[in-house]
Amino acid sequence: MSSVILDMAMSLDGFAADRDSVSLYPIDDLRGIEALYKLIERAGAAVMGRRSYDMARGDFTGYEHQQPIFVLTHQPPQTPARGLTFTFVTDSPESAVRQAKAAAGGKDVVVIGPSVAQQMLRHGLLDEIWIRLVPVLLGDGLRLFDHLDYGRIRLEPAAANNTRGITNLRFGVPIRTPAGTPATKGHSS
Amino acid sequence: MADVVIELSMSLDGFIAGPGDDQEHPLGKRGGEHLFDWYLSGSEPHPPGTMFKPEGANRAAVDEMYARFGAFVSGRRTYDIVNGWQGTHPVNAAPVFILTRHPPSNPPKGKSKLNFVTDGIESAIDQARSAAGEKDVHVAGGANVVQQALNAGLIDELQIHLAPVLLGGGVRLLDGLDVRRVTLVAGPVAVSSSVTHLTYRVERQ
Repeated sequence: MSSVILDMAMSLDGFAADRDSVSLYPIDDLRGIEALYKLIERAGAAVMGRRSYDMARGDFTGYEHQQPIFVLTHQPPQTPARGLTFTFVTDSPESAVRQAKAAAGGKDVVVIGPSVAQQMLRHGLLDEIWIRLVPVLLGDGLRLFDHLDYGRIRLEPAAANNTRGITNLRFGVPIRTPAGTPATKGHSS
Repeated sequence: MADVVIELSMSLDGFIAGPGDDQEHPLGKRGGEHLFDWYLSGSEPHPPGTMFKPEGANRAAVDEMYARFGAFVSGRRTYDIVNGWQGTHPVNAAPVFILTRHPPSNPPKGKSKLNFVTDGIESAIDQARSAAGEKDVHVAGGANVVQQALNAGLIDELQIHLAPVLLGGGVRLLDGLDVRRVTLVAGPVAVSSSVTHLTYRVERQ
């Protein structure tokens, strides 16, 4: 069964991008990070927010995830970006995940972007969280785990290792039952 | 020279206590206790006579804490929340330097020397360094003291025990940092089912 995986870089103080909205780690610095290649191999589709989409400035040629991309946005652009197939999802995060899973053909769905990540967490849609923890304190910027004021979520640590100073962390997200007690999902990771 | 170290358990979303921390709920009211699940991951009390039961990599982390630190620096709020450790700090009854504007008139009596420092974080760390001798200085929190120490460039190392939980609110550790970009050097990482132990050295400019 295909898993929904959040994949983000984060500074030790919790930011996904600095105060100038520059993404924490450019892809060029990630060459050789094995965890990223594993993820690219596993993924069949990606869901991202409008901010991440706009950061590519209209051209996804050479983007790491060469897959169908589902962009969660209230206002689809008039002309989609070049390089990949885009679907603009305006109704709900659930709908984006449903459509991405269908497109992924049994492979996994990668989730990209802080705002989308927060929406997915609030709706209990993530199966795994992959964090590339970057050894830097930024002091300010765009927080990855913010606005999560719905109570706690216990995670299951799956793996951690260091690659050239970047710590690759992987966690499983247990299903939350309506009563709020976690049950194990039993996905493999 | 002795190192000045931040050593704390933190949730993946950056909190060292859940919302509503007070004397009755030192780790907050909503899941904060999971920050320290790793202290209780085993079955045998360790060090003997304490309430801790760490195992494997977790035991090594606790052992390092007991072996390494000769003095602790703490904020007044932390002091109040833990009732001044009843006068005896759990780690080797080490001396504690408490940053406060108004020293309490009647601090608890125990085996630790409790020192109240009124002239700032730099002074507190200097005094702790002298008291620690060959050993390192532990900046124990709360978050505000940690932030002051980081902003003043007084920290050599961060040891973060990253707990696998999203608390969604509470006391954020690395917040309000007045830094542009501090590069860290990642040390070894040790994983257990209840926590990931991370170590970073602060790169000096």
